[in-house]
Amino acid sequence: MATTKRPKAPHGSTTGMTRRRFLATTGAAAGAAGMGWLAGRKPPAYAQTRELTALAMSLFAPPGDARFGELVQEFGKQAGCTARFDTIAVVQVPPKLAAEATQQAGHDIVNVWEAYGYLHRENLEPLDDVMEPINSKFKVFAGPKECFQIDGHWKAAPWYWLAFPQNVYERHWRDAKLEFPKTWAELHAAGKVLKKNGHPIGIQISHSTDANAFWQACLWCYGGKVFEADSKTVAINSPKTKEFLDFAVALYNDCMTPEVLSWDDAGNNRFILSGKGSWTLNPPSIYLTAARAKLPIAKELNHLPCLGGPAGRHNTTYNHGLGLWKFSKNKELAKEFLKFFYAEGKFDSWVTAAGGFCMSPLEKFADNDVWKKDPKLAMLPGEGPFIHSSGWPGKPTQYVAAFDAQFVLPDMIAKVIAGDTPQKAIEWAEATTVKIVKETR
Amino acid sequence: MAPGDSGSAQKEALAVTLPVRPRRRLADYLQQEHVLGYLLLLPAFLWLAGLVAYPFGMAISYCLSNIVVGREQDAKFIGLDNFISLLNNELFIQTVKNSLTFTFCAVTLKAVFGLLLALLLNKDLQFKRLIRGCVLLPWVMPVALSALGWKWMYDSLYSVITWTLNRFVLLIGLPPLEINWLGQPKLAMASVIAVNTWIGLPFFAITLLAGLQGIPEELYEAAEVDGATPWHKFFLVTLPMLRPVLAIVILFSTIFTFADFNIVYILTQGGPMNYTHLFATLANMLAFQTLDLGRGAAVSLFMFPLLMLLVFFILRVARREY
Repeated sequence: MATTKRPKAPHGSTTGMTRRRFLATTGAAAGAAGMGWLAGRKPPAYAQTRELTALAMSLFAPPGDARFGELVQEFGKQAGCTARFDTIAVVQVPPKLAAEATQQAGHDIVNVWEAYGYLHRENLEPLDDVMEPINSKFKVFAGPKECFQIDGHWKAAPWYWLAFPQNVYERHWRDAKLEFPKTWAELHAAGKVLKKNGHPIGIQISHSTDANAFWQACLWCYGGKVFEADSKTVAINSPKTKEFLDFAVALYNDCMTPEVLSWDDAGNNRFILSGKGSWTLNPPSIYLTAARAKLPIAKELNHLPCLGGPAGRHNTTYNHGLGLWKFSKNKELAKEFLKFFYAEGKFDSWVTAAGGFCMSPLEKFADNDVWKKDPKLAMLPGEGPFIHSSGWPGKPTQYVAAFDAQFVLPDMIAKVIAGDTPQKAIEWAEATTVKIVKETR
Repeated sequence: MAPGDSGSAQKEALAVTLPVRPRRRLADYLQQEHVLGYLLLLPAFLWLAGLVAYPFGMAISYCLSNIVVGREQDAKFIGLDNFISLLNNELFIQTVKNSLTFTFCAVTLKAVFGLLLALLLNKDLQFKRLIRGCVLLPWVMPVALSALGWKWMYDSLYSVITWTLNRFVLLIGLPPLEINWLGQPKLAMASVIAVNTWIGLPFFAITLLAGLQGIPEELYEAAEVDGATPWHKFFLVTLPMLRPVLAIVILFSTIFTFADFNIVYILTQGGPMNYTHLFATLANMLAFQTLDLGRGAAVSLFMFPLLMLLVFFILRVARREY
């Protein structure tokens, strides 16, 4: 049989190897590697890779997110694992949490706030072993503790809370020769003058989370409440609520313009930044945004302590926490990360990076220099004793979540503005809330 | 050639043809229309089964149970309780009214203006292609992006619409208007309908334009010979000839409009006082903010029988012969 000569590979080419030689060499190499692995009884490197993942809403103070990401990476290097920190828009977090809980898969550590800790309580790993030492060492404030200690267990590690101070445009107040208010009634009196001067005050009376928060704070100041302390008995139909409602409608009519009926959560930010508005309630993000962008208006903005009413001073907040899914495959690693994060030099560095937007739930770090450096933020830590979660004096349960999701409180005010009697609006709010309690699972 | 040689040659030929035989069989098999037809349908069928039928089946099982996110193991079959509870819920009844108003008004506006736009685009205009391209822009842009743009245009402080209107108002010496586009119930509904119409108009216009171009010119010539006016030609030739296309476009648009979510979610969150809540926004609220998957699924599926009736009715109209 005639044989054809295999053409010689060009000089220097790697294709000079015959197929048989190639198979023999690679087979031997693979065999040796396999034997080595068996002898070492260690899985190959790719099988050892662990990945810690965390998910949170994007902060209104982006440097805070950047610092948290750095800390996650730093921990990853220290623990010999890969680590990832994802941020998404706040409105995307609830469906994302629901999807991960349904699939029983996703991130290890997730950002929960207010009622979401309660809603997902059965899928959140108790963090008592992590939180008890932290609580003993750094002392958690009462508000975050009430929010995340569910059924006697820490269901999330308190991360930060948001202060909602009065935000004032000082020049409009100076021009009107007005003193800053300490009570809602004083605000009403000043607001009349400010509106006449073309600089109304404003807080949302719309389907926005800010509207839920701000008006609930006012309701508490007038002695009203949505639920009793058992978090289930509906208490919104009361003379105190009537008093609150009369005040809220008067405040709207005398001091605000109808635009508050259409605002989203950023509506009051735009209102102040435009120079039109003279007062609103909000976290310090309006000032921080202006200061970061070096807008001249930043000099005119300032923050004041929360207002009081006949029933004292009360303010709202959003308590944010870091929860660990029960179905996480890296529970121990995630707990190690939490221990790493809640340490001196780490947690306070993150608070500093967030520029004063995120308030420390730990007493130890509550006097961070970030609030001392800027006099306009200096009053924020003092808000701690007055803050409550939605649903106070009860806990932020599934009923509170549904009450807020349906925007019952702002709608109750809007109904009176639209022409309903206060009593009819209160009865509507009561009937709606009773139905929520009856139907919410 | 020796006989023996001939036999071996035959064997060789057989050996050569043997491996080919199954291929030919497969080819023969595929030649049959009923086999090839189903085979070509298979990918689409699997796609639909995986991405439509499976979630649809899940949604049905959810709406008949008291399932809550994260507590799936406690879910029980509760029959039609979710639907009964919704029918006794003031917010849901309001949502049904809103959805019907929103869909009826938006689809009507899209059909009327879409037809007018299609008639205009069917004329010999200068820059015809450029104009057609521009008309498609609202349809091509991501809905969320368009809705954000409209949100800015409806903004209480920076509304360019109010600003433009006020230029005219000031010209005639009247005080400037303060229009609260998203804060008044009727105005908010009109605003979200306007955005939906703006986004959906190109779909109507371009599809109807294709329908218009399919109408034989001879029909118009014959009508002219019979002394038809432009109105006669429109109502007696154009509209009847467009009927099947128009019916299908209305059907599709009704389904899309009923299921709209982005516009309301971004512009109003269902407010003011729930006057713009639609099925999709309510379902989202129940399923993701209160984790009540059962009732959320029931809200989503509530429109299914309504849409089925509509599909049946419109397809009948589309097939009817005069």
